[in-house]
Amino acid sequence: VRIRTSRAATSAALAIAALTVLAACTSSHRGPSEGSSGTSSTSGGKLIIGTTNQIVSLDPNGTSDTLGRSVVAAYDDSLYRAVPDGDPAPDMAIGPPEASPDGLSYTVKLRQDVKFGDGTPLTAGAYVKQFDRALSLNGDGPNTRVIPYVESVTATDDYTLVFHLKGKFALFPSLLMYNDYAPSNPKNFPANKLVNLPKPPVYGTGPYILQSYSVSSGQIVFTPNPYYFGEKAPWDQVIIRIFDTPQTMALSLSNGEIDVAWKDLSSEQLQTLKSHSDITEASFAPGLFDFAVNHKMAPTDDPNVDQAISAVLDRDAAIDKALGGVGATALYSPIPPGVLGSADVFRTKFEPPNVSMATQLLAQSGYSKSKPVPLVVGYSSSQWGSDYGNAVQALVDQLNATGLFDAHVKDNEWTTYLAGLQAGDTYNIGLLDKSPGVDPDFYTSIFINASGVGTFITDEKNKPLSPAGQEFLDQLHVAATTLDEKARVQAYAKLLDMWATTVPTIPLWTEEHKVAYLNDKVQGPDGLANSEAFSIGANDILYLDRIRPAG
Amino acid sequence: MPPLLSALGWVLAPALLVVGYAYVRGGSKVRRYLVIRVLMVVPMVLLMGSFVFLILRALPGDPVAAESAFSSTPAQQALTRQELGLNDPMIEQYGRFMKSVVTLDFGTSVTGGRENVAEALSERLPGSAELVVPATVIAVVFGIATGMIAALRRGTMADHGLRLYSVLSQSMPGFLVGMLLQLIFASWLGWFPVSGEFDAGLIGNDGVTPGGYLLTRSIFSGDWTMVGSVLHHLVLPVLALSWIVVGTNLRVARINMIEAMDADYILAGTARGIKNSVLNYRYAFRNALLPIVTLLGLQVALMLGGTVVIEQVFDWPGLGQYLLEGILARNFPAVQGAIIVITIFVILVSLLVDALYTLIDPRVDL
Repeated sequence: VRIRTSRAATSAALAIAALTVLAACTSSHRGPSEGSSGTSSTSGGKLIIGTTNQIVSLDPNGTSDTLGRSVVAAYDDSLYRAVPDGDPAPDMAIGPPEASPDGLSYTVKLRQDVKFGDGTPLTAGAYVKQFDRALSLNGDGPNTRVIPYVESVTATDDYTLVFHLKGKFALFPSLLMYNDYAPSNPKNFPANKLVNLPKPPVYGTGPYILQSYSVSSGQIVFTPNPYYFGEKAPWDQVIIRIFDTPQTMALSLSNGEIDVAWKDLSSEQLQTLKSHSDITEASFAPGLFDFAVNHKMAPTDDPNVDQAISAVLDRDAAIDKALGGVGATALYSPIPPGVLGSADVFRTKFEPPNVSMATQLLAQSGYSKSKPVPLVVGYSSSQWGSDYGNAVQALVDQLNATGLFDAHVKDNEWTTYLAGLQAGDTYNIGLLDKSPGVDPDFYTSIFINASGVGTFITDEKNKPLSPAGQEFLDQLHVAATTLDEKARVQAYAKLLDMWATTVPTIPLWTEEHKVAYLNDKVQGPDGLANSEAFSIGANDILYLDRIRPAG
Repeated sequence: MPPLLSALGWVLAPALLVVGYAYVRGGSKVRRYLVIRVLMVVPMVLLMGSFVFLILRALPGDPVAAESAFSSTPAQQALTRQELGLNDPMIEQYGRFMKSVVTLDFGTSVTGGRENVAEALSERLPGSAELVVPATVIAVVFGIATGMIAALRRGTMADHGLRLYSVLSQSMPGFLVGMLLQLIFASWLGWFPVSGEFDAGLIGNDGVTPGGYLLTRSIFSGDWTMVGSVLHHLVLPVLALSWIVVGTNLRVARINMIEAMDADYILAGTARGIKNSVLNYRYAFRNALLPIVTLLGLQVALMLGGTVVIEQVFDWPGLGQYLLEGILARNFPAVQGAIIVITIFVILVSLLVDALYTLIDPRVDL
């Protein structure tokens, strides 16, 4: 019996081994496998991009997330397009928008050779109809870049659009590069309804056609738009594959199953990927990290406490300790360097780390080493992972090391974290990240208006909760409606002075998002097109047509 | 037929067939038991649904804030909550939910693209089924085979080795096994893909489109490239999933085989000169098999729970992944729908196992 059993077991083991080898032989390891394009890199072929962002909306008027905006930008051109470290470049427009003398309207001249992917020509009249859609969808979809600003749009001829504004908005020209200002195809998007998941194929005016997608399988497929007015799309097919975790995405890149891993890679994962000779990393789109300071909850409802925290935090030391591998830079201004109005007010005012200043400030409010300030610092490791958690912990350690604070980190799952932040009853300060924008208003108003994502300078109905709140609202309005650039810079200078006094947020660091890619498949950062694709400083969109084949 | 019912049909049909056959073959007690079990399905599902409904409402956070805290104003968020019915009285929401359970129409998702939940579930359920079924087969076959070897070679190195393996299997969490398999067989050796259901490059190749029972559809449509790709992608997640229960099966099979081999009727058979092989395989093995069948229902439930982690590790588009995403986003309709479908699935499998039990062992009188 034993001999027979042994033979049976051996046979079974051999069979399992044979099946394993057989299955393994159905595809090769690394290199261009079936999953990874396989065709000559110089002649296009398939490009597979991995991301951890999920599909939320693919309607031009419904997107507010990075993936959605990048997908729409691939199948639909906006009037202008983001360019790294520069003003938006004309895309469907043929020149910069022209403001009327009173600043209440902007005229945009359109290209005359634009067609949708199904061959339907686009004129200003058709554009107006589509734009009216954006205005009519009030309350259904984000539209935060349209509704507050635009009164109406008219076409003075077939290729001239005029935007009539509700008031003077200095930031309006920069809004024209967002998806909200792209013409949605009426065949895919009805005039009176938001369609987050349109039925493919979706024919827009962009370089690619949205050929198919599957939310459940996490795949989005693009093919070139034969009617595109610009340079022909460089790939025969672009596939975006959605991953649940950056870890799996990183492994898939190192295994050659995808060609590009887009964003959200940790420093550890980047280090591992960089050890592969055929993988290169590139940086793009610096994101901003701040502490939102809760002015509704004691003790951070006291400006002396908020300023004392700002004086103690040594950003560089925390970055060195926890964020060395991800290219973070200390930030001392709510408006990042390179954007109009940026000024390092948190460095000039507090010269951190400045424990003596913190001691004096806290003494005015009755705190000392014998009576330290109790602080709850909010964080969400399910959203940001361990790198940023270590950085936040390093900052908290700095506060506690002074003896003036008794701070501890409260780490909650993302949805719970957001709920606590918005309720204003859980954390004194909490980490927030902010995508890059092109106008200083994007970096400031969000933290003041309508409860300010947990800062509570105003309430949910935008009523100021203190005299300082009213001053902030007034100054934000002045800064947003001043058209003269010099006067605008001065307006933001005053706003930032107020910022360093009331401290709605404490700027911490900027960090470039990273992508990693197979360098035998995708053109390196020396190539102009690719450098633009991976170095978007303006609006966090990945322009698929800017990613070129290597060679 | 609604897509969700169609997706469930693959489980529903065989379960009803086996139950029907057991009913015809069984005695009066068996028949009564099976009828009660079938009738109990509805209250059990409703009870589970109510439980999930209450738990979800007790969790902090809400879906609208989770999705658009930074891209919309509180006023817009309030409007969205109103549109989604999240501000309605709890009893009204509960009534809507109970209706959705009965009609298997769970409405639209309150996050993401507002997709239809029943349609999403009908796409996700097959993904999990195509993972759980082969994992169950492997867990049962491999568990019983190794358990028998351990029993037949009691006290030898093979027995000790297999028992050690059993302890490891029961103590190592599935996600760790999954990650180790990924690291060794995908990342280092490159034998298998790291994740996904098929090679992304196959999209647009005039073959089967993704979604649903992809493997089954590919086989029926003769798309052998896709079949090969799905099988290739299935290996690691199936092994990781089956790992969760294979150790239990090994131990149960070993103990029961040893008990059966020590039983009086085996001794009597030996005294009558019946060959050991006949005694072991025809008599002892069949009796040792019964407890495994009993465990099967529980193990399928366990493995369905395991898919929540394994699908996450291997990025497999199934029900577990959908459920986890739903929980994290407080997507109430998605979570409720997924739990209801899993509950129905588990109840049906449990019913199937009970019916099978009466067929395998005619002595059983439920």
